[in-house]
Amino acid sequence: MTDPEAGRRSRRRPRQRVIPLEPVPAARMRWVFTLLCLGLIGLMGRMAWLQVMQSSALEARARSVQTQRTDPLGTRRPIVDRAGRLVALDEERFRLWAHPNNFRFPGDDPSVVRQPLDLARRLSGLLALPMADLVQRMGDRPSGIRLAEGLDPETASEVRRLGISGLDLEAYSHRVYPQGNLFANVVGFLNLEREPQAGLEQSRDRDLQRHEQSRSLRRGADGTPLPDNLSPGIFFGDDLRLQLTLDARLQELAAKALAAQVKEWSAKKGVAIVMDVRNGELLALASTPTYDPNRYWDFPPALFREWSVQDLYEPGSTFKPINLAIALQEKVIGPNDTVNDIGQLQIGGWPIFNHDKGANGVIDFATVLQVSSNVGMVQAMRNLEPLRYWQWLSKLGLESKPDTDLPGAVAGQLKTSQQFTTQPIEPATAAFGQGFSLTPLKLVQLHALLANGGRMVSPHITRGLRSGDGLARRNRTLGQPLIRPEVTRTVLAWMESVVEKGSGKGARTAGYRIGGKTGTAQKALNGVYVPGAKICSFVATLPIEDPRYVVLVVVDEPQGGNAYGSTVAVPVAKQIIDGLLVIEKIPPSGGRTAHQPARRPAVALDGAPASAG
Amino acid sequence: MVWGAWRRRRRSSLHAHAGSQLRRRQEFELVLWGVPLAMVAISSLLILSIERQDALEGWSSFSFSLLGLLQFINSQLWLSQLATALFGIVVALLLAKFRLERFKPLLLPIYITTVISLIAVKVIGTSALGAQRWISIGPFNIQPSEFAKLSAILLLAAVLDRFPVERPVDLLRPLGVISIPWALVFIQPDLGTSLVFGAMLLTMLYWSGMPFEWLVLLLSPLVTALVSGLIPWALALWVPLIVLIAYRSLPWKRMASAFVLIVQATVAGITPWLWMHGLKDYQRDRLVLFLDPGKDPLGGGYHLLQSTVGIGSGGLFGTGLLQGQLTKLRFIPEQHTDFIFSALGEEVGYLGTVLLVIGFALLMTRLVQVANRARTDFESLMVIGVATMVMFQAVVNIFMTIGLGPITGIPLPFMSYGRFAMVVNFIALGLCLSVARRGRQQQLR
Repeated sequence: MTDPEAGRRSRRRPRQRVIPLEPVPAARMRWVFTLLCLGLIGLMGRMAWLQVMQSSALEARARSVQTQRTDPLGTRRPIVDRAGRLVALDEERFRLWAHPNNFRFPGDDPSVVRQPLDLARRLSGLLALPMADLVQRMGDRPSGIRLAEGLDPETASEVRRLGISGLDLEAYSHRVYPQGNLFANVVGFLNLEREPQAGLEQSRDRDLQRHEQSRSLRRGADGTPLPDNLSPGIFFGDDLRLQLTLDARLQELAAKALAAQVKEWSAKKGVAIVMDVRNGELLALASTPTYDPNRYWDFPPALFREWSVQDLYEPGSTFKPINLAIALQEKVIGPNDTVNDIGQLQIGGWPIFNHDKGANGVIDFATVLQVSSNVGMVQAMRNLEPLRYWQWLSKLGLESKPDTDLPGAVAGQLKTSQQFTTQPIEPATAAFGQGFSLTPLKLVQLHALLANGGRMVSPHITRGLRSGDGLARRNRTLGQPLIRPEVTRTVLAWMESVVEKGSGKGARTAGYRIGGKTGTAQKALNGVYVPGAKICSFVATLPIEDPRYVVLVVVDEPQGGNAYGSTVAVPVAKQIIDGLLVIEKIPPSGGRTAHQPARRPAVALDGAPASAG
Repeated sequence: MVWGAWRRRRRSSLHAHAGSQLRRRQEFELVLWGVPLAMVAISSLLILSIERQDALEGWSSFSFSLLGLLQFINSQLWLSQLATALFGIVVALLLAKFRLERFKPLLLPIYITTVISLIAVKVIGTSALGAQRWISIGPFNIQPSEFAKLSAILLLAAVLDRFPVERPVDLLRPLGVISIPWALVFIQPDLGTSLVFGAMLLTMLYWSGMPFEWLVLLLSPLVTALVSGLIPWALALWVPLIVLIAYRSLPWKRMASAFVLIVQATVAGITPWLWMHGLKDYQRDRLVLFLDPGKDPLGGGYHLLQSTVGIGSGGLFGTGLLQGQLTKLRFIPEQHTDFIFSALGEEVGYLGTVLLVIGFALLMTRLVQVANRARTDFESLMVIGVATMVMFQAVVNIFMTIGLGPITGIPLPFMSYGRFAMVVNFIALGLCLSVARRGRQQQLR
C-alpha cells in the first residue's frame, strides 16, 4: 500500500537500547490509549441507549418472541359409538390466503415483489390446482385473496415449508362424519358455518363444545413451556368424547337390511331399532331413507329429522302383547283363559273383523297372538273397565314425551278419557292397537317393559362424555316397575309361540328362544283410514329365558297385496337378530332347541326362566 | 491469590524493610490478575446459565472416578471454562517468572511453527460454519489462528525492536512478518482475526516511533475503500488530504505523493469490484447485516436481533445471574462463545456491562503503564501488542453483539467459551506479567 521510499526523520535510535532514559512521549501513550478507548465510549453510549432508554421496548419484544398465543378454534368433541369407533370428529383444515403485494420467495431481495405467476408455478402442484386457475383467482387484487380451502395439515405444512412471504394459512376445524349416512339420523350435522342443524349435534350442542380458552404460554427456544405466569388450567386438554350406545356394526347391518327391504317393497320409509331392555340403551337406530351429513346440501331437509322418534303411527297388532299384559296385571284375564273368536263383533255400531275376516273359535291367548286375532283381543280387553284401561295407557306414557336424549322426541296421541270411556269403539280398537298413535321408539320402550320384567326404562343413545379412549360404563338404571314380572313372563311366553308357530315364524333362529309379534296396521289420514296404506312392523324380544334385547322393524307403506308384518318386517328383523346374536355374543338357549318350549305355551307362566339349566 | 500471598511473604522476608508497603501492593498485579479472573468467574456463571439444561443432565450421569470427573468437567462447559482458566493461570504464573528476553531465540521457530500449523489447518482442519479453523488432536481442538496472533506480536516486537521504523522502507519487514499469518488467516476465511492483525500492526508501529502521518497513510486505503463504496463524492475531499499528508511527511515528496495518489485511485477503483467478486456471499451479508438486521430476521440477522433484544431486556440492573430469560432458554445462538456479552447484558444489566467495560479499560490502562515502564523496546512493544489484541477483540466483539458492528466471529477475551483462545489469552497475560515484574524490579533498583 503506502510504501514510501526513504525515511524523513533522522532520529535514529541505537539498537537494543533500554528505553527508560528517553521514554515514549507521554502524548503518544495518551493517543494510543485514547484510540483504543474511543470504542469503549461509543460502546457505553450504545449500551445506555439499549439498556436504559430502550430497555422496556426490547424486553417487551423478548417476551413477545417467547410467548405463544393460541385462540380457540371452536373445536367440538368427537362422537364415538359404543365400541369407540369414531362417528363424528373435527379435523384441522387450512384456508390459504394470498397477499400478492407481499409475495417474496425465501432469499429474495426485500425490495422485489414476485408476480402471481411465479407463485402459481410453485403452488399449483401442491394444491392440485391448475396454474391458470390460481393466477385468475389472484387477479390483480393486492391482498386478502382466498386461494384454497380445506387443505389438510400435510399440504399446509408443505406450503409453509416453501417459506413464501405473502401467503397466510388459517387453521379452522371441519366436522367430518366418517360413517357417512349411517348415523346421520341421530347425530345430525353442522352446516358450513359450524352451526348444529340436526340430531345430537343440535340437542347436545353444549356438551359437544370444547371448553377452549385463548391462552398465552411462554416457551423456550426449543419449545419447552415455561412455568411462569400460568393461569390455572392452562394445560387442560379437553379430550372428552361423546359416547353413543349405538353399535356401528349393528347399525350398518340394520340399515342395509332395511334399505334393501324398503326398496324391494317400494316402501316410503322404514326404521329398525334395537334396544337393550335392561337399561334402555339403543344399539341400533337405523332409518331409511337418510342422508350423508358430509354432503347434507344434496338432500332434502325433510330427511334431517328422525321419523321413528318424531312421527306417530298406529302400532296395530304389535301393541297386542302390551294390552294382554295390562289385562293380566289387572287380573281380568287369567294366563290359561280362553276366548271365543267368532270372527266378527259389533261394537257401538261398528263392525270389527279379524284381518282375514275368518273366525278362530275358542282359543287361548297364545293363539290370539299367533293368529293376531282382533276379535279375540277385543273380547279379552272388554273385561277391563274402559277408564281403568285408559288410565293404564296413560300410565304407560302414551300421552307424554318419553324421557329420552333423542332429539325431538314427541308424545303419542290418545283419545281423551271421556271419549275413551263413553265410546265403546275406542277401547275396542285400542285392544288391537288402532285408534291411538305413538312413535316407534315408544313402542320399543313398551316392549322393553315386557322384556325386562315390567320396568319402564328410558330409551337413550348416549352414554356420556368420556376422556380419551376410555369407554363409558354401562348404565344400570332400574326404571320404574309398572307390571308384575310374572305377568310379563306369561306374555313373553305367548310371544315366543308367535315366533314358533305364528306369524313370526320367519324370525325363528335355531338354538335361540325368541319372542315376537307382527303388526300390519292401517294408516289413517285425518281420521280416515287410507285404503292400501299399511304400516308393517315386527317386534321381537330375545332371548326369552333372560330377555336382553327388543328389536323393532317398521316399514311404512310397502306396496303390494302381500305386504304384511310377516312378509315385510320379519325378514329384516331376522337379519338384525342374526347379527345381534353374533355381535353381542349371546349364547344359545342352554340345552333345549327352540322348538321344544313351544309345546308348553301358557305353562311357562311361572316357570318361564326354565332355561336356568 | 494463594500465590500472591506466598509471593508477598517471600518478598517481605527478602526485603524486610519499612516503606515497602507500596511496593508490595504493586508487587501483586491487582489489575492484571483481578480483571481477567473476575471475567472468567462471571463468564463461567453465564455459561452455566446458558447451558442450564445440559448441566442438569450432566449431574445425573456423574460417576465417581478420575475419568468420570474429567468427563464430567468436559461435558459441563462452565466447569470446562474454569478448568481451562486454571490451566491458563498456571501457565501465566510460570511465564511471569521468565525473562522475556530469553524467548527471543525461540521466536522465529515459534513463528514458523505457527505458519505451518495455519497451512495445516487449511489442509486437514475441521470446518465449521463455512470456515476451517481447527485442528483436532485427540480431545484438543487447536485453533492456530488464535496462537498466530500472539506469535505475530512477539516476532513483530522483536523485529521492530531490532529494526525501528525510521524510513518508509523499514515498514517492509514488519509488514512481511504480519502479512504471512494475516493472509493465511484471511483465506481460512476468518475475517475477524485478520482484522486483529491489522490493528496490532498499526498500534505497534505507532508505538515503535513511526510518525502519526504514516499511520494515517497506512490506514488511508481502508478509508478510501469505505468512502468509495458508501459516499463516492467524499473522495474529492479525502484523496487530496491524504496526498497532502504524504507530501508533508514523506521523503522524495513528488514521487511519494504521486505514488500515494495512484494507490488511492487504484483502491477506490477496485473496491466495488472486490466487494462483488472477492467476498463470499455470507461474508458480504455479515459485513452489512448489522446495518439492517431486519433484512434477514431468521438468518444471520436473527443473531443480531436476539442479541440486541437480550441485552436490552436486561435493563439497568439485569435479571440477576442465572436468571436471564432469553439466555436460559437459548434464544441467542452461540451465546456461550461469541455472544456471551448478550448474556451478561441480560443478566447483570447496564451496570454490569459498564463494569465489564471499565474492567477492560483498567486492564488497558495497566498494560499501557507496563508498556511505558518496560525495560526494553521489545518488551514494551510486546505488551502494547497484547493490549491491542485484547482491546480490539473486546471492542469489536461487543460492538458486534450490540448491533454496532459486523458479525465477525471474534471472541470476547477472558469471557467467551473457547479453550484454546483462553489459554492463549493467559499466555499473553503471563508475558505481560513478566514484563511488569521486570519493569518494577528496575524501578526498585
